[in-house]
Amino acid sequence: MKNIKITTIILAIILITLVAFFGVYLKTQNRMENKVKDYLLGRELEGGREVELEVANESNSGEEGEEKKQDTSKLTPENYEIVKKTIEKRLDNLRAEDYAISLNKETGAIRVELAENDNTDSFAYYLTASNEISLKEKDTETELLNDAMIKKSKYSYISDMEGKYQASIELQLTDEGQEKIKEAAEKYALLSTEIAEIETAKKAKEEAEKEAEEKAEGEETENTENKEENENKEETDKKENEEEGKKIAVLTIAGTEYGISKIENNKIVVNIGGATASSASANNNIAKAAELEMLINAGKYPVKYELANNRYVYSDITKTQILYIALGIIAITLVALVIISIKYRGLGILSSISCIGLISLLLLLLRYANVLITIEGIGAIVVIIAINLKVIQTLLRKIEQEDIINKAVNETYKEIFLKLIPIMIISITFCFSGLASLISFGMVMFWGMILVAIYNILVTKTLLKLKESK
Amino acid sequence: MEQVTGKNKKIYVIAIVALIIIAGIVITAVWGFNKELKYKQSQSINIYVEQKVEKNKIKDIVNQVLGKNNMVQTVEIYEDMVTIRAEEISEEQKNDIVNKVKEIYEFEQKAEDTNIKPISAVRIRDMYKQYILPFIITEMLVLAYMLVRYYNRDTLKVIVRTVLVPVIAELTLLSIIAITRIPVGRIVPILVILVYIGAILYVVKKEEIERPETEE
Repeated sequence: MKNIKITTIILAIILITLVAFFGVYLKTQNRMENKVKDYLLGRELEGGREVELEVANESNSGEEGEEKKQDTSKLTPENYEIVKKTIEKRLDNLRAEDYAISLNKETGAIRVELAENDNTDSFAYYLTASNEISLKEKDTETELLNDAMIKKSKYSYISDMEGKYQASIELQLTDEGQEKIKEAAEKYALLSTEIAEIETAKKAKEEAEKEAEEKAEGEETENTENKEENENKEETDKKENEEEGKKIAVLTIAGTEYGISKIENNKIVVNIGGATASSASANNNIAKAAELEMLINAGKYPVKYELANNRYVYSDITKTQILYIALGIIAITLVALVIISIKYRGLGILSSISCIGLISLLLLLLRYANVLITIEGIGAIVVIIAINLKVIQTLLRKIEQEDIINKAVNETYKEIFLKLIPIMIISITFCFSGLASLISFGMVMFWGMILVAIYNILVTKTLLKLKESK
Repeated sequence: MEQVTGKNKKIYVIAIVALIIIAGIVITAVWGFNKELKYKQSQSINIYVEQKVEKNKIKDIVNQVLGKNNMVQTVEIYEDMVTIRAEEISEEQKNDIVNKVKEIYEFEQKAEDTNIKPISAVRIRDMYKQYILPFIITEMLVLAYMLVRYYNRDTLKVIVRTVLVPVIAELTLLSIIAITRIPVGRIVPILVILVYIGAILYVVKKEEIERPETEE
């Protein structure tokens, strides 16, 4: 009976090993397909997005005339460096986990390597996205405020009694900005409510004028002199009204017009979209506000850049090279297991088989737990194998000394896992580091250590107990 | 006598480590680190092959023309373009590569239409600066754990050990990398992590050995 139990466990381990190393191939649409989930490989192993940015040429940067042209005096290595740092800030704010940036100080060309995932396209977009802010007079384009007068921004949203959400962004002004906004507020209608009022009044006036004109056309008996007098009077009234009324100023952020909802001493509050009860629209508005906050706070590009290249590039590390590394690790592990088997004979062989099962189970677990495998992740797999070998070796040594498996297991766990607490702290901290390579290491270590602790109690201990109780 | 031997061993280890670190500092100051090609200032050419390429075949050609220190990467999901990177690519080498690739694959791009593009280097501090904060936080947490776990020991000794041993171990590793001219690039972070873990385990082992039996 015990032999059957041992054989069953060994067969299960062999099955798991076959699945983990060779996969499960089933016929799908006339071809054999591996049904076991693939590894999620990192940028260095699989490949990633390569985005190249170049300093915009004068000719093609000026879509909207003189103002958009590249200022050639600003094309200095120092300014290129500022752009590079701003890109880093943008990517950090977007929580990009894995990127590399290089700058050619002579040409200003910037090369950004990004990991390929669901966010890569938006990261690539944000590399060149504008964060220009300007407050301009509506008709004359006279600039009243620019982004140099904005210190930083903060987005927020509020909900009212009707359950409508309003997203907004708060722009904190510099001293110069505060003065400028004060001056502008005296001459211009800045708040969206003021602008709406003026526009409604204008519309009403235009409609009234139209009606009056239509009436005048209908009255055939009226004499020409009176008519001329009336017209002159109307024109004078119109001019007077316009002079009395404020001009309209429009706030533009990243090329889109937004309404100012509040002006305070040191800040202006800008509404992003209207108040809405629809969760989809509200989420869109909030996301837009967060995006603008990120772009504004990351800083401004002193030099205009344009996208030169955005393409997926496979890693130079080939699958064959990865396979060689894997085979090397397997070979070293097998040598260690053979030594253990020779030294501890029957118990050693069973422990070695159990160890192979643990490695296979770990490889499957990493795939189904969606753990990103990077070079650091592979390193963590090696560490986990080493820890498990140490656990097995200590366990077998204790059994040899004390001959009681339960006691040997308890002492082994006490001896090894207490010492591993700092390693667990390191692994968990790495999981929250926000850096793909460290996350990969941390995640593999985390799952690996949990697996080593549980698996050896459930499988190795059971195998050894069955063997010893014969 | 045994104590003297142990002390001597310690002195030898300290002397060797100090020598390695000094040599490492000197070499880094004079020549700097030897960066991996991926992070070095280099040149690249792109060849649009118009069909899925076998990277190994291209790699063989590039190895023949440019030597072993090169990078061959396929581009986009169809893998119908290759980008070849090396420290320096001359016009002659470029023409040679394109013509040799043309012998295997049929495509339009001519050698004279292929541009050699400069690729800027990634600075070492840019490569690794993102690692600094996570390592500092990790070290602080490990230190806090060590102080709690070994609360009845000499606190200063625990602090010095937990901080100094990993620092010295990492400096030794970086010095060895500088001396042996191992390319600094993708492999360094994992070496640093492994050495850090090894150093912390060494500190834990030391503390456990010195732990009085009454504590257990």
